[in-house]
Amino acid sequence: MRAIDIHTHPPAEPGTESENREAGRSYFNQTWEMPKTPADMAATFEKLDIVACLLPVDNETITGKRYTGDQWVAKIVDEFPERFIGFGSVDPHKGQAGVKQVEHAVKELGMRGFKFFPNGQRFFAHEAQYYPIWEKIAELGVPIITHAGHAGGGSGQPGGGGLGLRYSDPMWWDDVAADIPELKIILAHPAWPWQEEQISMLVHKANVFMDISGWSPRYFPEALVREMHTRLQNKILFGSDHPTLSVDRWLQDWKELGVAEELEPKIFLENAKHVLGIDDWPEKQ
Amino acid sequence: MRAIDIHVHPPTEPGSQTEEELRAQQAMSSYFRQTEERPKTPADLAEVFERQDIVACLLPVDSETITGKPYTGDAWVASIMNEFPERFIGFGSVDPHKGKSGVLQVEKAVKDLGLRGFKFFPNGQEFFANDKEYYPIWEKIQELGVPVITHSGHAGVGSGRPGGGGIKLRYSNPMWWDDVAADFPELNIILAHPAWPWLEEQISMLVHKSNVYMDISGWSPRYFPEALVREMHTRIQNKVLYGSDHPAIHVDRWWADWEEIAVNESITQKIFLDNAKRVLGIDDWPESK
Repeated sequence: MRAIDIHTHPPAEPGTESENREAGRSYFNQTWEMPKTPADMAATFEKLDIVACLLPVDNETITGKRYTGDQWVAKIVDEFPERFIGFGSVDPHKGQAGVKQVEHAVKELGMRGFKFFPNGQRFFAHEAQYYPIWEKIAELGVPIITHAGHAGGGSGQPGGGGLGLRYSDPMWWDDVAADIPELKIILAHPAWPWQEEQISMLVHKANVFMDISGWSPRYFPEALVREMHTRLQNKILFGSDHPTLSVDRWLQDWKELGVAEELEPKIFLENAKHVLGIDDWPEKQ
Repeated sequence: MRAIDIHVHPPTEPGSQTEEELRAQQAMSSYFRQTEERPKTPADLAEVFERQDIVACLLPVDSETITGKPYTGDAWVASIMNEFPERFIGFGSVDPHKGKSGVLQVEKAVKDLGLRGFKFFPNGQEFFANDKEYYPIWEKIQELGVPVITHSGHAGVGSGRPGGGGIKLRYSNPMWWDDVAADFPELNIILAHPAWPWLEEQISMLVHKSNVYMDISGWSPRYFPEALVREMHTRIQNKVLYGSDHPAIHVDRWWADWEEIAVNESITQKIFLDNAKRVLGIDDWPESK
């Protein structure tokens, strides 16, 4: 494998397609085809020799829709075990039931981390009521990946589609990182408009990381590119946000950025291996 | 005197440092890539500043309710100041969680020990300055007519350690103090350091509140954000106070690096001396009796 893409979205489970897909297509200027099946998506990543982490989102208490993402992701990983790494998710408002859910996801379904989307799940990570879930995830020894910064979802709609931006200020997670130092936290995306805060957290907390998904590398803030070359080179993980941002386009635009070649093994592979706690993929039995 | 250094740490009081504190200090020395010797005694420190013809403000930190260790910093700083009255200006500190006893402590610090301001470190003292429970302390400090100096921005302490050594960054967003500055217009508040990652917030506060200041300590001038250097020359030239953060940044290194950045001479007198005199309410040092 040439890279681990820490940030991809599974194709919609048949019968659960979201009505928001069209709005997203416009915000991200999507001209590429959406993968319709796991096989479509596996073919895309196979061609690139990249292993993709699949990130679902559980916001059951907000939408009232029963969450089946963990099972769906597990099923895709079972079908293409060499191509995908499965993440689970949990709606943090679930309390003790959420604690059981994350335990089940890791022990029974083989999930390797948990995805959060604070804007859609409507929670501030530092509030005490969610700590039992963070503590359980730390105990299970898998990382958290959380959306950080501006939300593409809802962008340009009246009321931003009802999504509050404050939830995804990465600084709420700084409390969690301080209180649970063994928990690894990946702040997904350049966290603009809180880019400087994100860099400060990465410098300050050994257990905080970021991915560079969701933005064409062409638009990376200058501060990010500079820090990537120096003190953050062990903290940054490649991610595309595919298919929201096509992995092919991401890799194409990366070439334009002019990043020093010696950084690539870290950003594309070594840092993700370290955070995921894997030596190789698929793992030897 | 050619300058007042508003931000200097006193040498460790003999016998007061635990093993854990020593480790934290070593980690911080590595963060700041210190190669120079730390001053071991007040006399060492006085000599460094004597050579530079600079008067140094000594800033202790009281975090007694967090660490459980009795705080003796005010008395220690006062004893250093008494030994070198021409070289040092003493600040006190108070753990804001002390409530009424904290109010008494700041009163004693000014009236009995002769201290000239109070240092806070919100990350280590674990408080958000805008919480009403701390207001009696801010009110008393305002009444005593001395300034507050508070750490703001990224914390060198804990940097790079798992969990950042348990230190939470949110506490040192300077914007928590904007409420205090609004509610106590006669209280001068110095936001220590360029407050990155909240530098823009800091500049906004300096522009907005006539009683809010900043110091430029803790960073080599070589790395000053461009916005700071630009604003320093224009609308915040009366709001910026020189400070080194010695020995975290050695005062000699700070000055060597300052030479490298192009600052207009018209503002240096203000930054190095006049602004600090105004905030401290002194005409000269040592003061004429």
